[in-house]
Amino acid sequence: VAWSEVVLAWAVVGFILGTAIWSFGRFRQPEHAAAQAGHSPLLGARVRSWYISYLETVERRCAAWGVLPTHLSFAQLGLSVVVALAIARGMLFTGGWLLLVTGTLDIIDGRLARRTNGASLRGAFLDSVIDRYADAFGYFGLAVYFRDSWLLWVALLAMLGSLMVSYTRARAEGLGESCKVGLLQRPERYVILGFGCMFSVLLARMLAPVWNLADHALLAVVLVVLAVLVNFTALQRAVHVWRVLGGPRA
Amino acid sequence: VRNPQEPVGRREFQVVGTFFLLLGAGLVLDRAAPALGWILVVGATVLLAAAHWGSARGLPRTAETEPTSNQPGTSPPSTPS
Repeated sequence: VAWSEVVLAWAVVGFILGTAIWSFGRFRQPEHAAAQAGHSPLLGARVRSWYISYLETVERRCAAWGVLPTHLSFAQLGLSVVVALAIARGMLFTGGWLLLVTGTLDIIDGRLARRTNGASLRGAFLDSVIDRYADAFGYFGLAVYFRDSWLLWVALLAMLGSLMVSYTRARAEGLGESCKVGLLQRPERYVILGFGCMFSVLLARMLAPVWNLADHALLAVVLVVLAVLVNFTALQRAVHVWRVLGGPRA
Repeated sequence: VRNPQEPVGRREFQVVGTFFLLLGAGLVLDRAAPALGWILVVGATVLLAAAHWGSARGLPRTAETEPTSNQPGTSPPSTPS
């Protein structure tokens, strides 16, 4: 047993939970922020507002340094390739953490575009295309990592569901309807998969003195749950759009 | 838009410190580059400590860096996926 890893794993868990509880406990949500932050069944408006309060600092710094939203979009794409490589090589904690950073860049680029009045249809289109690639790269890395296991099929199923969640909304909007319903939207998927990768390694290292747990043990459970929920979300959206569109068109 | 020369605030230290702390921890725990990982962990810990204790020693606590930072009209709505 490498005790330095055990101690570090416990310390990291303490840091993550301690920082989150301390910071979130002190957070006072302005009334107008709840409507701005959006919400979903899993990540409520208060959680989103709290996280965005950290991102505002980064946004302002990017704006001050002249960073363009497209720079962040391409950084997101490049980082998602690194995520895929890291996960494929078995660096699950690093891959999970960088996946969360990728998701954060995805949030910041749109906010930066609006802050600097740089929002455009072309930028929105580029952002959507890069989002799909970034989404898929994470699952691609998992598919390579689990290539000799039945979990390969679960990773592919999760990737399919994830892309279908986005497609159903895009198609609905193409038909003139909005479709923002669903249990697992993109931020939730990033959070579940990112923390799933990280805590899977942390759990294995923390329990190393008493239990020889595989690095991906927790991740396997998370991936199965994610694959089910993400396809359920795609179905939710499909049913919603089906109902909203109604009967024959005039 | 903020002035590029504006001093770095406490929360910026926290964001950068957290990024490198967890990146370093990842390199150690994934056994990818333990030596580099430990260097990042130690460096980031120093940075986070400086952010924590430095606020009492003059590190800026600007309005946007505090928990109740959302000023009306300054943060446009985010786009859900």
